[in-house]
Amino acid sequence: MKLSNQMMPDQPHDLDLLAAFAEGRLDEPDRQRVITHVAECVECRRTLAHLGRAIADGSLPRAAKRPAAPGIQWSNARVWLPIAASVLVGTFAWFQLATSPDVSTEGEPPAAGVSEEELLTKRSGGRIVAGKTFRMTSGEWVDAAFDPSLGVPTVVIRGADERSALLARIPELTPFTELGDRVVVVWDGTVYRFEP
Amino acid sequence: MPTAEAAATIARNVRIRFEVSIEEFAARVRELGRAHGGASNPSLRDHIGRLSLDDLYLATACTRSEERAWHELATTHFDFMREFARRFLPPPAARDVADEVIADLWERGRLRQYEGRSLLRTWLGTVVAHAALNSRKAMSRLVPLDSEPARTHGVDATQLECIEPANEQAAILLREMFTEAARGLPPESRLLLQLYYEQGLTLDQLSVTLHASSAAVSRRLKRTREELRAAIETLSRRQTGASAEALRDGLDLGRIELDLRKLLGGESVPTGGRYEVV
Repeated sequence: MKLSNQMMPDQPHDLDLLAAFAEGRLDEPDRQRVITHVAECVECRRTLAHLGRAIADGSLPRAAKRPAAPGIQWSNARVWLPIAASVLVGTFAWFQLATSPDVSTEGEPPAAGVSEEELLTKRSGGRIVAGKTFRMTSGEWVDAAFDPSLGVPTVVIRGADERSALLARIPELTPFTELGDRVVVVWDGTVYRFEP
Repeated sequence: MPTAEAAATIARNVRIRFEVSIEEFAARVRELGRAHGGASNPSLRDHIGRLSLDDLYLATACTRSEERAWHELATTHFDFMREFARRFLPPPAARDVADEVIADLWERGRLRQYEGRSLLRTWLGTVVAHAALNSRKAMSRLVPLDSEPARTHGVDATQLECIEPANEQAAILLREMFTEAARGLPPESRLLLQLYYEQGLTLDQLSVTLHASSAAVSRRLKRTREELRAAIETLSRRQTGASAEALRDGLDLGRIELDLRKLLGGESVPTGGRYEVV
């Protein structure tokens, strides 16, 4: 399938193709061309990130059919699934024997709809808010995506006035600020550090 | 692919409910297929098999100004579009942006750009997201200059003064090596880093966006970071004879923040710019 030349990095954005990419519907050549464009185009990258969030939280539907993405997916589930299941059962049995009894959630069956990531986060004292994982570090709730060694632009928001002004501009940050007075969150290519 | 075969495929996947006949719609689908390189029968068949045909049928009827089609589009999607815009903007601005996109669909025929390669809802969400993000960018440009004193791209100017000229040179070197190393990564690896570190997606969200399992994404992320660090190390030894670690130590890091957004995003980095080191 020929790809529209609109997806070249210096060309206008092809939102039709970006939407198809988000749904995982493209064949491999088109998929690679979109990746090449999005890796260069910050506007499309932001849009794609928001589409990913929306699909993950159910605001946008997941497409029913999508071709495999080579290089990152295991293609034949019939082969690896039984092996993976055996390894998982063995690991779980070992984990049950080896875990210390003071783990607060030990023995509780996993609640329906609770992901492995959520359970692990809960056990380690972390919190998941709007799909992002936070851990308490030196008195701050810090977004797991925050990596100071690589760094992204940082905005420091001090006091209630600055906080309200920012939340009026970016309301989707609100649930994260409800964690506490000191919160570090990575959002839309920027680190927001909330301080009292 | 014969018109009859295309029509049969369409008949299985589309509820013909507007004035656009199955033959007219089949012609439109074939035209789109040919435009995307599906000249041969197998590629045309493959193209049609990937389309959201019923959504494309609705959009086609709308572009022909069928009142009932517009009514269906409005009742099915417009509230979603207004709600979706609120993910990016406060309510009054969100409504304005969504209504502007709706007006574009109607008055400027933007719906013609929908070619059925995704669900119509995802396409509308993409268009709204793009418009809302642009509007947010425009709004941020309107913030009075004196409201954010001494802060450029999150870098506090008072901290910038702490970097000595020799260290500044080392910082520029490191930055150039980082850029070169990142450029050497395959686009898919670069995109993964960008979505995780720059856009702040979680592993679950990356998994959905890139259509891979969380475990596969996590492994790939780890591998990519290792590749990046190794490439920077090689460049550092080749260009300066010192390890990247030594170069960083010489910088008294703890104050400079490498701007990953610019470095990975391929935007131009101001040559005289200084960076906060963390």
